[in-house]
Amino acid sequence: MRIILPDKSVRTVSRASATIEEILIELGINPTTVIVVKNGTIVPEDVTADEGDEIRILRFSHGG
Amino acid sequence: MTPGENLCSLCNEPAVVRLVEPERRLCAAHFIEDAGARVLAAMERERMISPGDRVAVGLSGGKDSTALLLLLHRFLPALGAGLVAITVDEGIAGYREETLRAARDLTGELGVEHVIVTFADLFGEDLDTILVGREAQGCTVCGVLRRRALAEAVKRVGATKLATGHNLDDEAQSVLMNVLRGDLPRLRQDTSTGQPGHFVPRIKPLAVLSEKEIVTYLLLRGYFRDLPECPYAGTALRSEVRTMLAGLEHRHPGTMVRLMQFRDGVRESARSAEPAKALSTCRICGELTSGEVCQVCRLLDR
Ligand SMILES: [Zn+2]
Ligand SMILES: [Zn+2]
Repeated sequence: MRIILPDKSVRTVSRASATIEEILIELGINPTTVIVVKNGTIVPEDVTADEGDEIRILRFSHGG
Repeated sequence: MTPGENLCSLCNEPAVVRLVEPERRLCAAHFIEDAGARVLAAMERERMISPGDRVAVGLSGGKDSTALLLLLHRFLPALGAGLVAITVDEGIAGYREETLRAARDLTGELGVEHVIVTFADLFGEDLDTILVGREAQGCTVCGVLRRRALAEAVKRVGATKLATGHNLDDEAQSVLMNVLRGDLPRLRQDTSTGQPGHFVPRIKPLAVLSEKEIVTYLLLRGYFRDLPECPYAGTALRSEVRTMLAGLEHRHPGTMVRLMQFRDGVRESARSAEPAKALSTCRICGELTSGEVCQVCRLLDR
């Protein structure tokens, strides 16, 4: 799967199906601090991601 | 959780969020409804709005105040209250220009009256100039001056309430910071009642929504803008507390809400126990202060 990180860098991870929460924790990202867009749609983090999925991670900055 | 199981609890469309208490999954349309309903319920429960109110919204142009204006614009007419947006232009080069544009675009689109006040106009200098040589104190200085600027703008527009975009994360962080500093007076201080002649009541309708919910709301409604961050870093303690609370909220969902309940309990028990303490006025500018000269006048070396 393709993972687009908050800094817009792209990582390709080949692994069996996992929940997005598991993937975030492996990346050292706290799920409460980001919004996850899977194949163009916002999803809760307990949704699974599979080979071929595109996961975009949006970190919202503070302030405002 | 396969895609087939991630469905809205209300309509079976694909869910975009999963919320607790009560446990539910919501699609985009139902999340937008749910978030709005919780804000409206908080405004009614805490009697934030009275018919005839003229509510000033502190509109920085950033995400929280954008969501706040969208929601108040939707709910205030039914509550019999009017709306005016006020923006404080501190004078922060490379940051304020773009957020100011976002604020103008939004009030223009919604047809909301919009008043802008500047630090240069109110204090004689912009923030960048005031901070030369003490940049590290940026947020503290700015916070004090911005509160005064908002109060001044509220007077100019004749508003009866000031609404700010503080979200659940901001509020929970402040509670924990006050505890960690041992600052009980600050923990108990309730600005929602105001001070006749000095401050109008201050309301925080978004304090029931987390920062994540607010950003989700804006993304779903097409109002999220990636804006520059303020160059003046926040206080060290707040950023530590933010990281700590985010970790706690993940491992123990509901932590932020429980912190707010704790604060409300402290305020409730303090209210009956102690009479309000006497207030004095600043001998230079006449605003309320706990000492002889207020924080604003001290910061500006008046
Ligand atoms: Zn639905
Ligand atoms: Zn003063």
